Amino acid sequence: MTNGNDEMRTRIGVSGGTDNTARKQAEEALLKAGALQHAIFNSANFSSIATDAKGVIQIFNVGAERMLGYTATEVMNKITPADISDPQELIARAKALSVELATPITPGFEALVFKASRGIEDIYELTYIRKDGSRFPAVVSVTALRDAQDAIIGYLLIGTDNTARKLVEAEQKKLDQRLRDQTALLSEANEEIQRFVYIVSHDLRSPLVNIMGFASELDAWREQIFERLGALRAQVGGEQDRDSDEALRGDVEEALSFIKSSVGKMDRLIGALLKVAREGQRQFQPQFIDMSQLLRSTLEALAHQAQDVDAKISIGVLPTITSDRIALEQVFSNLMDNAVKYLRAGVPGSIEVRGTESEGAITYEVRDNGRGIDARDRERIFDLFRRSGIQDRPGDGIGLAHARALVRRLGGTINVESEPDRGTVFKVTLPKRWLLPVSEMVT
Amino acid sequence: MTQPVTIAMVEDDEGHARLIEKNLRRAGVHNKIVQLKDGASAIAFLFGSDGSGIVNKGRALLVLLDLNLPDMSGIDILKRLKENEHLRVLPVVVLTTTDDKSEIQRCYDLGCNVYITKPVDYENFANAIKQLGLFVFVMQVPETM
Repeated sequence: MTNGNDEMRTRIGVSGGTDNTARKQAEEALLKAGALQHAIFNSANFSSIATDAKGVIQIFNVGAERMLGYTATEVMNKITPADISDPQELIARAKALSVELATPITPGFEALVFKASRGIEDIYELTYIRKDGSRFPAVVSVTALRDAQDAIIGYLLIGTDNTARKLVEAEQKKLDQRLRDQTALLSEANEEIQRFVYIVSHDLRSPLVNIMGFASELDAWREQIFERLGALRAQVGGEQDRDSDEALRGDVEEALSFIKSSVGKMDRLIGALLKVAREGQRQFQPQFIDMSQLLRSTLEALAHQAQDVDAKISIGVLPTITSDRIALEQVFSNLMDNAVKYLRAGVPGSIEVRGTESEGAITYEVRDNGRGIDARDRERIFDLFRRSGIQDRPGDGIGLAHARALVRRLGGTINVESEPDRGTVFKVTLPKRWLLPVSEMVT
Repeated sequence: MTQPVTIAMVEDDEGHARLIEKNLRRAGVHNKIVQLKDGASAIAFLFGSDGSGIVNKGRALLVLLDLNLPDMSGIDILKRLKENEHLRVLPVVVLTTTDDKSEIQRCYDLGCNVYITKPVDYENFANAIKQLGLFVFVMQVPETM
């Protein structure tokens, strides 16, 4: 047993980690007294099974009795640990080890201790079979016991019941699966919405062609009708109803022009919907982006407009990002475009873009000194087709809704802070490194 | 002497059909127009009761095709026309509200001769049909084999 003690001390020393003399002395004392050995072998939570060199069980502790349902006398000098292990697993283990170590290993006790016999630290999972035939997963650590000449005289198998951990793992697996299912459902639902928007938009266009077409035809006929009326009046040589005919002509013209301008607007809205739907179908691609450069090219496209309204735009040194380039171009060109569009009359515009980085996220700010946004509109402006303030600029209320959809898809958020007649700040917070979510990977 | 071209207009929307016809007439196109209101009647007219297409052998036909039909996709009709030994020479003009790039590409891949989008703006619509009318004027349609 002396050698066994040495072996165990080595193991404890290793797992203890610190090499401290006082502790070592305490260990020596414990070992001498046999107290440590006693405690380990009587622990009810670990099964400690010691065998001879051939594998025949020599020691079977309380923990082993409790876990496996055998008494020590039933197994000692009678069977090997292989007899209480799952035979299929032994076969698989022997096969795998034979390949790994390039030497034939028999699917019995040898498969359980072969690595340990070669001095390789070995901890593995296996299924133990109780006396009553029931099974449980265990984690087993195997150590070879050697004599003073380093010859193997036996093996020590310390096992713990792994049932609880296995349950947690199974639960985790279930949760992972559920998450995958949910993600798949969500992306399916998303695709369906995209298809829906696409089909509806096209189908809505068809009747518009008719409304616009026949309204325009009516408009042409209106001219003919009133010309004919005028001619008839001239024939009868009268002036009667001339004024009311003129009024009627104006009414008809007005009605038709409302119909036509509404159809035109509806056509633009449908066009915008289609654009958003198409954009939603585009595959995003994360790439490294120099944001200062991206904003500068956005600025170039806006330079003319900015000059017209006497606006100065400054772009600070912006943190770089990994994200989808086209999406970010659209987001910031929308924000900058709005900033230029909604300045205050008579006040030179000042627009500034800044960026700050913290904890894997970057916040870009587009700040203006424009007309500002009323508090009650600060959520609404992100809704499709909604706008804020005096409607004196062209637009259909799509830019910010589109921007928010894009930012969300990139795992970020967009917020607004504003003070009417002072200015507005749009803050776009994005992950520094955006990765393509599983749901968007091309299969 | 070559026979005048007959226009087979596959169009389910009555209004669109009227507007197209009106504008073709205005452009001076006085050819016979046969309106086919759904996919089934288009197939019956073009391929005949035996479905072989031989019924239109020797006829000068121009097919004006809408893609969004109630009972089938115009693309299927286009595909069947271009696969048919008697009818594949017929010029097909796709005239539809869809302006999706991949759809347009698909039609050309299948052998459509011209793809025209119906614009909502009526001036543009009238113009597009006028251009189509000019095309009908100058076009030589091969007689089906």
